[in-house]
Amino acid sequence: MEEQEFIKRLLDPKTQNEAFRQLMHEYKRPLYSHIRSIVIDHDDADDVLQNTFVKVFQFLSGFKGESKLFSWMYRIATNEAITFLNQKARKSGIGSEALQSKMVENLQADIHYDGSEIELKLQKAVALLPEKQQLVFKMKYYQEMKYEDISDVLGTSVGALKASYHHAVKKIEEYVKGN
Amino acid sequence: MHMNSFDLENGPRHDSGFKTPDGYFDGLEDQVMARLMATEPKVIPLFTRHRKTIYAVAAILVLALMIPLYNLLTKPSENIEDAALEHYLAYESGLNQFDLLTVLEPEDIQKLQEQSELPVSDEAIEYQLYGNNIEHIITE
Repeated sequence: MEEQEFIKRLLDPKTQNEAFRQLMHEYKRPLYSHIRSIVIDHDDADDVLQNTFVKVFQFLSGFKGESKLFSWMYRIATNEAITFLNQKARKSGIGSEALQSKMVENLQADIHYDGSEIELKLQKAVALLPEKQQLVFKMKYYQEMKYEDISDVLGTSVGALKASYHHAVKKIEEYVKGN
Repeated sequence: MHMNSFDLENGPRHDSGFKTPDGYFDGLEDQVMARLMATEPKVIPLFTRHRKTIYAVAAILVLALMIPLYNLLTKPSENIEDAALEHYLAYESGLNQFDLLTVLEPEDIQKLQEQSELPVSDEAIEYQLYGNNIEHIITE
């Protein structure tokens, strides 16, 4: 179905609920993965994902169709996840990057994590990157998103994203080799 | 895999390692829909929602605007210029010396005399009198 047609169904009170369920069904897994990669913990990811869908629903009437529905939802999810992480860090009295590193350190004991040694090391290396590089790396490597789509979500040019991803890969490789 | 040969872009892909509880995604739509139904905002017109506040603000504004009006109507101005007052009394009030004398008390007159007393020395008066022919006044 054409996206415009689907958006019409989302905005029409008669078809809204059914269309919104369809939207959630289609995007819950990729959005969850994206959010989880930022907030690390499953329960936090669940909270943020639900909040994201609630906001998507509430803001639907303001969606102008300037970007794709998918990019727009990813943008809301990214903002929600980063805001959540910052609030959690503030409550803990540490910076959000320090909090992320601490959470990654605790992953081994997490019942909802079963990564191998190398996968855990990769997570630790990613947590040390600056926030923007982390986002780009996670979206490109773990989510396998196209640069054009990442650009639409983060509002950064494709060239800058490629450079950012390249820097991230180099730093991660150095970390893994050095540890 | 040996760490020294670690190559992210050309080597094997690595998973994030994140897992979800079994069946987590199954009930998600229902949970979100339940939240939406519970939090669906009611549209209340601005005036109805803030009626009390709007009335309170209006009442305060009316009272505040009445203060300068009240002052203007009840309090005589104290800022009339001395010159304007003097001009009125001298030229437009029709008052003459006798009118003034009837309203002034003896104390007031005494006060005026003190205030208008000029520091003129006796010598200056003698000198002035000496230069003038005042014989006819004395002998009169």
